[in-house]
Amino acid sequence: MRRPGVTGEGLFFLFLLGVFLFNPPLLSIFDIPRQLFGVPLLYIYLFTCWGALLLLVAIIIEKGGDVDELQDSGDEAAGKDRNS
Amino acid sequence: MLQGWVILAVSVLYLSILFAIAYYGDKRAKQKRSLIANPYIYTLSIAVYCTSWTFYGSVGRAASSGMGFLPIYLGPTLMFLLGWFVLRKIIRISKANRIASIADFIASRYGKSTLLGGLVSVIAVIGIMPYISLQLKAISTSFNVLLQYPDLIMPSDLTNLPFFQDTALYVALAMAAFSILFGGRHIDASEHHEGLVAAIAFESVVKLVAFLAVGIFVTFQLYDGFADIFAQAAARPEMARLFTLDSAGGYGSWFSLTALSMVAIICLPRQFQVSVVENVDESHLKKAIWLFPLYLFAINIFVLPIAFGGLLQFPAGQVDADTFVLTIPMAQRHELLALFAFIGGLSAATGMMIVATVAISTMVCNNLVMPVLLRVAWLHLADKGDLTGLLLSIRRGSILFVLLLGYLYMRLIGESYALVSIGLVSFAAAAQFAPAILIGIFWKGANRAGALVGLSAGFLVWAYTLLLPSFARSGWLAQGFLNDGPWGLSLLKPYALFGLSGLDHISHALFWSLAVNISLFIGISLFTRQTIVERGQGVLFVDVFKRTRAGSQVWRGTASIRDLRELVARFLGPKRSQAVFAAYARHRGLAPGDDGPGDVEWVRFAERQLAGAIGTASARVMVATVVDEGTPDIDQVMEILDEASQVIEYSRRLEEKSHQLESATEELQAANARLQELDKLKDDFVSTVSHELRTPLTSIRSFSEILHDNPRAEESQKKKFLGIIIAESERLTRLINDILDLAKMEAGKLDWYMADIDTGGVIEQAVAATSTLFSGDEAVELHVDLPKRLPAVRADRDRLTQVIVNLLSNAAKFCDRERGRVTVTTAVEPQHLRVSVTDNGAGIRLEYQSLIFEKFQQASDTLTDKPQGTGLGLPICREIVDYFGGRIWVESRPGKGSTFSFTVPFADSLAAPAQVAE
Repeated sequence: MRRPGVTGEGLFFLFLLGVFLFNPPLLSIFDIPRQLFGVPLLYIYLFTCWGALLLLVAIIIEKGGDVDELQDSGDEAAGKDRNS
Repeated sequence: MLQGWVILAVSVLYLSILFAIAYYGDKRAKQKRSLIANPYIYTLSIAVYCTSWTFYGSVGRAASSGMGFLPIYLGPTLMFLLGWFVLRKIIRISKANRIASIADFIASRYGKSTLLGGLVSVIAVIGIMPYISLQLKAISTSFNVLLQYPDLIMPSDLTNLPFFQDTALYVALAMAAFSILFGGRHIDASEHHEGLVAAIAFESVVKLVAFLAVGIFVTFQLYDGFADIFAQAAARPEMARLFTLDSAGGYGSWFSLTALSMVAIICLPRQFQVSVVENVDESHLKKAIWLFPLYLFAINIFVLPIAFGGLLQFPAGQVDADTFVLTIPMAQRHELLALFAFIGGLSAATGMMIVATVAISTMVCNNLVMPVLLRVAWLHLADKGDLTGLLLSIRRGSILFVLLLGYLYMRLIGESYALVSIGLVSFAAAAQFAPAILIGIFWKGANRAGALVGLSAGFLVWAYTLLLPSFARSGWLAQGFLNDGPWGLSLLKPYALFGLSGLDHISHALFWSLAVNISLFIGISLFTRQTIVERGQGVLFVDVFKRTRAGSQVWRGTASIRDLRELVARFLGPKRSQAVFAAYARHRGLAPGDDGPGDVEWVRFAERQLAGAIGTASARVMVATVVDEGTPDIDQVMEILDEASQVIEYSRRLEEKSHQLESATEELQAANARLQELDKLKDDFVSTVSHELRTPLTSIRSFSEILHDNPRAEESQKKKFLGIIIAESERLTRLINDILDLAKMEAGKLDWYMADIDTGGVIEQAVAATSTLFSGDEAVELHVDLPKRLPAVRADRDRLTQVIVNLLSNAAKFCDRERGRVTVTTAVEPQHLRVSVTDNGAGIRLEYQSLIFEKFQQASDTLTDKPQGTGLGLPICREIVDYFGGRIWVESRPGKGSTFSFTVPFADSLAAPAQVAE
């Protein structure tokens, strides 16, 4: 049993991770005319990160507590973020 | 086999299936066996995000800018990660307030402002309507391209068909019929359109499968997997440059597209419709958080391979990349797949059209037409009877209006640039709603004036930097407007406003419009005041999770329940109105037929009911017509005051409690410190007592040993030693008695026999008891100076005697060796009798004067002098005098003798009769 509230926090940090992964400067490392297994590096990088991120989200959500737990954590974190 | 009639028949069949699914969905909803009440249908309905612009356009975009198409789908992925904090809050707010559209949401947030709702509706129509045209055009184009099979002729080379041969018109009409049937049947627009959502979900499945089918065909049939396609592409320099983002306008464009699509997924009217209004259960969002991005992931994997496949297949410039999804299967003579791809594109386009039309027509009806109609005085609409028919007609009329307007737009502007770029332009228009929504649900201070000005200004900048230029590029405005700026003012060039260049058009427009929008929104909110209604709505929205009931809302006045019911009946119909009012009365435990005065709760209830039908702003206006918002009567004022004072009282009590707790804590700390001190004293006491007991024991033991070891000692010496042993034993006994006495006293276990006592008798008795001390060899003179008659005191006789005996024996011990003199005097004071015993001994140094009343403390230096007495006499005296309620003290100066005095209260100072105290 994980401590309550970890799902909401987890999602928030995955959001930050996503912003980090999908934007320069990290993105620019892979933005080069190179191929891996014959496939452009940028294509592989973006889709791998995207897939991995979704996998993490799925794990966090499906293994997380019930809806009530999520709601509680959501309330706390609701004030923290204001995006774009 | 791909003749025109086959394509038409399949299209008609597909649309019929849509109607059937929607019909079935509505039927199931009526039976309360909802088809859509699960997270998967919910997710698929959100996938209406992927329109024909995704289906055909992504490939086209990828063919010119590589991965540059992807931010449009990464943005929503990121936003959905924040779904629990943003989207869920919006859903909760909308459900609580029966919000039916994004215009309603913004209007409701900022004090149910009709003006703001109208403004949002206008922006939505201008910004989004062209997007509907784009879908129509996509259908028309794909149909015409497919019709040429097996030839590949591009749409730009096709002559414009007369409108009655244009498939787009018929599709538009079919979609209007569909939207009217399944999206415009409820009076209450905030109700779920279950059949519609079911059909949308089905369309999402079709377009995904169709796109994947084409993708798999191209990647694995036409080529030998991903590596093969990319390897062939890498060999061609014009394609190899698409491998990096240089072709996509750089990182600025990448970042702004991500941000743009992040807000679009919330702020596009159709997204708001499916993810908020049509949401059946808030918990469905939980699964959608990862399932919807997964859908986007799946539909994007093959975009780049299809784009490269098309570029490799067709000679450069011969085939429009936007049609690759259709033309590659056609070129390969794969008829079924081509037909399937066409149906996929059709499903993507129709899904968007249906939802967007319903969303926009709701806004147009509730936030533009109704408020105007209700306010136009000469129509007397506000006074008319049943308005349900009118309301439904307007709703349906606006659906038809929006779709036909879309069609007209497409026919008029046709192939021009305006239509091609409209996807992102629409996104940018919807993004203008973002500050009002996203800041509005987290910041209570945001107000109507700020939202109104911010939104208007942002919209104007958007129109200037994106809409007007697109007209100019279509040839509707002079080209000089673009190149040199209006009137030749280069600073005002719409694509390089104030000299800002180096960004693509969308990023440039987004930057300026949002900068203006947000800064005006926040700035004006900070420097203008909110009305009470705005403040109330702000709290209601921001604190939606904290509030279980809308308890202390703004004062709205009262109205008779009958008036309210009749008002609601005019918009919802009498039957429905009866039903909801009866249900609410039952809910509140009232008689269903009650027509009496309704309180604030009733007014609020009626307003909520109306809000679903005609929008929050109009609902407020309508309710105001029957509500007596005048001065509340005295009872109601008292009630409000009472509520407020209860809250104040409660907080006051809370504060008091916390003060009490604080002081209790302090007391406890003090008690703890005292306990520790006592513990230390006890330890000291035990060690001192042991020491004191050992001294006499040691001498008894050593003299006994001497006697034992020397049996032949002289008789006189034996006697002397035995005398010492006896004296020491007595001292030991005395010591032990004193210790026991003191311990009992301190523990409060001693029996006290309090009575009225003749003091003179007690003093004489004590003097008699100590007479041996004063009659021995050492000449100590004792003077007892007693008046004839002393008042009685209240004390225990034996204990009082003990005190005087102790003082006398002390005085005898410490008085002058040669000419000892001890005096006993008494003095009658107002409350008590004072007894003093004075000696003429060496006196006590000041620093010892307070110490000598402590246990085992003697004024003389115990190291050099043999201890005289037990060291417990004075502590015992103090305990006894304290118990009597008196005081004991010493006055002394070294060399001048000492006076020990104590006081005992008089007997008559106590009201109670003599009794035995415990």
